[in-house]
Amino acid sequence: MKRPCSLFDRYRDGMLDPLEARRFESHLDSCPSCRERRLLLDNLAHLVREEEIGTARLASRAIAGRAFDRGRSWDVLLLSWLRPAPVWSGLAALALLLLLFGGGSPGPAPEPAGLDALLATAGTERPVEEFGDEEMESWLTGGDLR
Amino acid sequence: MGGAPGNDDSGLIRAARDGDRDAFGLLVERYRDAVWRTVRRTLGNTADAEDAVQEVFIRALVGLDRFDPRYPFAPWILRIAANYCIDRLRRRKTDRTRLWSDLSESEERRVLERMSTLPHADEGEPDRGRYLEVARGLLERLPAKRRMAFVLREIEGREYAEVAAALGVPETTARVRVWRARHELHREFRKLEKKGEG
Repeated sequence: MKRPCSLFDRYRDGMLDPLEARRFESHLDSCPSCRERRLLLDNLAHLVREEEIGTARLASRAIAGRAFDRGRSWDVLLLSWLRPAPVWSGLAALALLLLLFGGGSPGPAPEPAGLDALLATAGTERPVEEFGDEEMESWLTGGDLR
Repeated sequence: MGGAPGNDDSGLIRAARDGDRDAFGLLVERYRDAVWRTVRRTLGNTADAEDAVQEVFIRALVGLDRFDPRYPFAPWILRIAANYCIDRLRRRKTDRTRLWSDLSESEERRVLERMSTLPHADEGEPDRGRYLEVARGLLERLPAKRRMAFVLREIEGREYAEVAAALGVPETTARVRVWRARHELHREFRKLEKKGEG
């Protein structure tokens, strides 16, 4: 059984079924922490959303003109080719060629990048294999990883 | 978006690739406001947002040859905007000691208390700008990627699939970033409350 507080984000994102949502709303009446969090987030989102932000001062034609003047200059084009994506793609292609023609063995399949990225956000150094499904689920619903 | 034959996004993209400034101008016209809203709300001030809009469209033009016009343009341009904002936020230095400089601690406590106990806490208040400052001050404390995810989801009300596309990550990762951002905002808020009590 999940602790009701851990359902906060699922409730906020409309992921609970109607019965679970009603239960969580009862929980909100009795839990000062969840109530406080909800009001804080509601206020914060409302304040930033309602801020008068106007529109971009520069006209679209001026933005486009500057983009052409700057975007087609040799230094910007050079920098665009040095951005991470093309460079890493090139290195990956080179590594693949070395692997195919250099006689090396492919080795074990790597962990999916998505999971590694998720774990990196948790600040844990434990390998992914050590986490059971329940622990991962608990983490995804707001708990902490050890 | 788009409509008349040859004037849809893919037609404009092809023309812009061939050096047609007017075609690119029309693309900018279509997406400028959406980019503006995202960068302005994420970066928090007009001067940075003006620079951001210009830079986003420069990057878009430079990368246009690599864009596949069979896919929609909106998520692609939003992704460029999100990457720019994350880079920009990372370079900023944040003052984490106070939310604003010209308010007494008792006033600060009052604003914080109203924000966590009342819906629409700023209603009927003489200086509603202070509430916005607190909100901005709390957002400033989030790490760049989580802040970007939070703005896209909570402020702009985008679906997680759109947030994920803008961030270039799987949907689960986008969800975790938003959930973590919410958690951290509450934690930072409590730290400020405790500091006020101490």
